[in-house]
Amino acid sequence: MSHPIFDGLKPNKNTINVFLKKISKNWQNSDAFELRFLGDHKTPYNCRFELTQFDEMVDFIIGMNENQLNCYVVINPIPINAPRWAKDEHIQCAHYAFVDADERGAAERSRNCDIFTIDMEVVTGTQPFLRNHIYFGFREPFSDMRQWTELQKQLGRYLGTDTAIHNPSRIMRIAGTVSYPTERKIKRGYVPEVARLIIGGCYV
Amino acid sequence: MSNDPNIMMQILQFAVEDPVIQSSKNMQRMATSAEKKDWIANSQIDGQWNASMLQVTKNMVLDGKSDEAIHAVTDDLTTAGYTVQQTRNQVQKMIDGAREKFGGKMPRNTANVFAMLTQDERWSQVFALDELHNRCMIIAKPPFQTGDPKYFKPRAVSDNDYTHVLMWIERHWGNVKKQVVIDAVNAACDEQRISPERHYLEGLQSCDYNTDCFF
Repeated sequence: MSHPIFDGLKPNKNTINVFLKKISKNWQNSDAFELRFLGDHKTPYNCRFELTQFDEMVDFIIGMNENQLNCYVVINPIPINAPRWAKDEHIQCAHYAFVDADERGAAERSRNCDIFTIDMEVVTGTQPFLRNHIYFGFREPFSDMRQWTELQKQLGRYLGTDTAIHNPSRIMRIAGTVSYPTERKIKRGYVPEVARLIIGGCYV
Repeated sequence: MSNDPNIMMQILQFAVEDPVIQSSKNMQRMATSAEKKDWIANSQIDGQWNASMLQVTKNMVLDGKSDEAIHAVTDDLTTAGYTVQQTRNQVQKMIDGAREKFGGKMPRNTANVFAMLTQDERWSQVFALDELHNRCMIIAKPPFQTGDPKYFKPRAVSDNDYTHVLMWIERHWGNVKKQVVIDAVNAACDEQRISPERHYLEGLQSCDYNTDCFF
């Protein structure tokens, strides 16, 4: 049975589309999405979609999200031939650096970062304080994954965001989906919210 | 999609190491090497402005920075009693001298100018070859031209365009021979061919007709 505060929120298909299109914009045909679905007291579910199955994937995400599962995607492309539940060593390149600002004040700090170009921002929640993910796109795919990990750590330290966000197979919340907080988080003031996407200062 | 991860790393290493210059605006403008940072600091000491600025501009020219990027850093180093414009005038002479002497890291030969015209995001979409009329075209707003890119109308490359490309390279990189620019522009055009007829014909499906029966 669903929690009463979860009622009434729907995933936004357009936002999901734009977000996933944007992260996969420069991917090769041999790259795939790896999705993970997590929920309170639910078994994690993992699946993979090729670029050609994009529409199918978006519908699948919506279905899972409507079943009150939090939806995540590995931001870096996964080679199609990598085993299921891809590990760090399977990731061959990165197109983005990103930070997870999940502490009070970190989101504003990250949002105001003007030393690098911000490609998009995913507002993952506003209650009890603003939380977001900031994505910094690369001019070209970056294949030195050790260096990428170091970059992620430095970025986290500089912006005061979660420094654990540095493994190449890191999953991030899919913009446009509803985030369902755990019971513990609800007690701390978190509420379910649709993760919103901001590109170029505008909500998508 | 416009960040260079290597440059991001350099800037972040610099930022995390030196809390005094954590201000993001300064960070953006700051040089990326520790050596440059020292020269920037020295420039604020009485009597050391000129010598320090020479080093700053030299390092930034060697790093391949544009004039504007260099001015963005040095404008902030204007000392009391001087205007930003006066600083700019002084620094521009230093930049010109440094470009003349060091000319950036890469020699300005045809191969490198061609690489710039085809790989630099400001230029890579500018030139094309109209295969039907066999003429070089400018199909997107070139960086030397002002105006809204949306309203740019494609046109054939003229002699003046070669001169403008030449001047742009001189301003942002260093002196280069005009023949080098002409060759590189023509090669860059050749790299991106526009041929609606060929694209149409190539897109046709193959058929099973025996063409011998027509003749």
